[in-house]
Amino acid sequence: MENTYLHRLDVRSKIAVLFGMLFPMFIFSDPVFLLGLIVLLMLVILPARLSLDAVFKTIRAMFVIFLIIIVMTCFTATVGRFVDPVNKTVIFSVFGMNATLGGLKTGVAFFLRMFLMIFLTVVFTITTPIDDILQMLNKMKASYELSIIVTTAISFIPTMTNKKDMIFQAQRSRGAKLNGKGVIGQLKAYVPIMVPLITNSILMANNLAVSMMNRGYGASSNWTSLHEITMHRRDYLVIASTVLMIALSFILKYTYHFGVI
Amino acid sequence: MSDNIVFNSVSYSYPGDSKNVLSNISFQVDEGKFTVIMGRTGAGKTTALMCMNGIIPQVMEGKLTGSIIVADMDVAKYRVQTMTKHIGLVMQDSDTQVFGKTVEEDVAFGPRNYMIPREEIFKRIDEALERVRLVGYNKRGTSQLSGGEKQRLAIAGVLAMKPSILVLDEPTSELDPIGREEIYQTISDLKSEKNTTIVAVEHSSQEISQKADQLIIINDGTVAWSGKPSDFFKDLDLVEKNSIKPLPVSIFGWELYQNGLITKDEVPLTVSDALELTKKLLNGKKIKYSASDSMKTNREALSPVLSIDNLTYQYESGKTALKKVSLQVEKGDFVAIIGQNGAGKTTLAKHFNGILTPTSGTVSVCGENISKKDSSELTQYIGYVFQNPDHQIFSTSVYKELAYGLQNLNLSEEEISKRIDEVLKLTNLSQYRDEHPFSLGKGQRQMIAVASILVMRPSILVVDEPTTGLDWLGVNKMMDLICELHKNGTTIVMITHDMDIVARYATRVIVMQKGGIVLDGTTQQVFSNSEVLEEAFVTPPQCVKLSKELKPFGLEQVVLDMRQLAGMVMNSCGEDC
Repeated sequence: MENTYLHRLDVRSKIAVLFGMLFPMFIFSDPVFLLGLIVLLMLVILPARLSLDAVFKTIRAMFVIFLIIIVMTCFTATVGRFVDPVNKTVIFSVFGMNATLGGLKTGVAFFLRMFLMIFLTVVFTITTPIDDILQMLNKMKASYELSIIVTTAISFIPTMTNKKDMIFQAQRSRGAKLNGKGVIGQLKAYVPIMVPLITNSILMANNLAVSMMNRGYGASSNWTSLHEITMHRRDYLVIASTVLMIALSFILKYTYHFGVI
Repeated sequence: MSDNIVFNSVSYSYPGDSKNVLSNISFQVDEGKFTVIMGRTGAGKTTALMCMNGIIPQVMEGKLTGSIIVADMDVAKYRVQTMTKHIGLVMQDSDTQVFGKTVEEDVAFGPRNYMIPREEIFKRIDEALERVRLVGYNKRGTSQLSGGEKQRLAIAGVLAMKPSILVLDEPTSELDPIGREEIYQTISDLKSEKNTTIVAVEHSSQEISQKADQLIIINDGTVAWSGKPSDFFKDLDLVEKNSIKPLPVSIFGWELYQNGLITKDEVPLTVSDALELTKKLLNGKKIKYSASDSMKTNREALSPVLSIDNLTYQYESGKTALKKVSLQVEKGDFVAIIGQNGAGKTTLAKHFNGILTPTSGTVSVCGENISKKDSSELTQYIGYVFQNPDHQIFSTSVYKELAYGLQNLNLSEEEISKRIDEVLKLTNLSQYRDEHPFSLGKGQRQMIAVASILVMRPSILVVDEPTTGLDWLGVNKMMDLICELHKNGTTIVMITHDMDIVARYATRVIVMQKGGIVLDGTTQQVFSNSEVLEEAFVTPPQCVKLSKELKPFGLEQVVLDMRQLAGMVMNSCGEDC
């Protein structure tokens, strides 16, 4: 695993940022402010040179939906709610329906919020080892069974993939044709793959239960945690900045009425 | 406190089954000793092991009577988790016993459950990994381990709990001879350094005859024999009766014993004993034989049915698995492919019917390049039997299971039924025609896997480890079938670790190492080449070792049949004997 400054950050500070950012994100409805927020976060995150393909993949997949939403809000936004009169300006009309500037801004703001959320969660998941999350759960007094279930399930993914490949190969050697006609035909063609996969899973589950018992699973009501998560100075710095950021957002909005449309 | 295990009239039946898997069984395992349990598949060996820490009947329910005392504790009165502090149980399937993401995490699982402090756990991890020769593997992902490494890791996971009794269920079944040797070394060390009591279920006899202190044979849920392993293996009648694999040199000795040359007690179990014995019998004479005596029948006129030309295969990761392999298999060959785990045997074989596509190079079956063909178009020419039958069985009856491949060929119902009946007869499965495959034993399921390929009447049959996990009875049945097929004209390509099987059945041997072929020739030629074999980490069978040792006594070639060798020795010592 890579080890950038984002990786080294404690899982709790990262969660704090993730949830803390929700405040400015929803307090401000002006796309310009949201864009500012994005630029700010980019300045912090981009130097870590993470591979952010996942962000763009998700956005690309949902692009059409975003576009439809933006178009819809252009027409349907409640004009009376706009504080700044400029936003009430009609940009164009179609079939007697008016698209307002405020509507357009609302749509864009929605898109930017979605982008921010996707962006932050992707950054969080690629920089946080699953064990850290489990430990946090543990710290929050979640039962240790839960963390065992999660870790074991994750570590069984390669084993199961391997099984699937073996079954595939074994059936191909018997002349399996996996391109049946129609939906039913397709399903039928996969029976020789699915049945051994399921029977094997059941057998494995049984063996797994026995071997977990053999290793003393359930001997006590908790277990030793292997790696302690610890907060460093940088973590306090990050959390303090997040708190300041939230406070600042509130002041800007409610005292100076910034960032509203 | 003692670390004995005492079974006192124990009977057990699985839930919903009235048949007793263990019936009134009594035995004792002594502290600090290495005890081996052998017996047929389904005899109750694994069941007995699972009773030792209370898994039976606490996790797997059922009816258990009698008493089991382990380390002075009545198993019925303690939780499994309490017992496991004293007795560690390593099961057969290493895939489901390794469940950490990294090696370190996996070994830590046991101690963590007992709330052992973190520093202590890390110390134990290093210790356990050292014991199983996985030093420095701490941070490795468990999914990247080879089969042998996983099996050793499973043992480390139990060792980290520091049990004073260690119980292992077929710990070496899927390992090559070197891997087996390593596991046995670990066992010996534990016994001598830590005075750990060790119990193991095993099928292979070679190591056991020398290393175990006590042997218990279980048949039909009860003890059929127990005592010193050497006493058992010297008596071939007893060995055969219990369908245990005999030691090759004991066959040699038994032949001499039956001809009155030696006493039963003199039957050798090791190559060096056999050598001493032969020296004594020859009494200065040389071994006389005619050159044709030991030669296997020559190969038929060459006509290649399978040719591999300059084949290279790379995994998606870019790692090279096979490097420029060229190979021709002639019609009527009985080829054994041998080599260490990870040498590329299975990867090579998977190219024969197009399951894997070569990165470069060509594969031709019956003169035709198969690069453009799908595996499903080749089933009538080349059949591939996979190692684990449970990866392919999906039907509710044996008949339907065999019909699958034929339906893929779009044959008529009559033709399908005709072929299936024929193959059922050949594989002795006729009586199970309408049974559910999963209700049958491992040996029969393996047979079904072979049968499901045979119905397609391939002219080349590739079998990957056909005898792994089978008992001696199953091994013989399987090999008899393969031999019969070979006699009827099928070309056989077999991947195996069992050198005794290679010596007995194969006419040609291919040795692989690090993704290439290092040796290819008749069985005798290959086994004569000790240097290359050693480099490829292949341990030759006892018969080969003995033949070599007898070179100073006039034996210039490798004799693969122990009875034949005994005959030669008897002829040579003549009237003196």
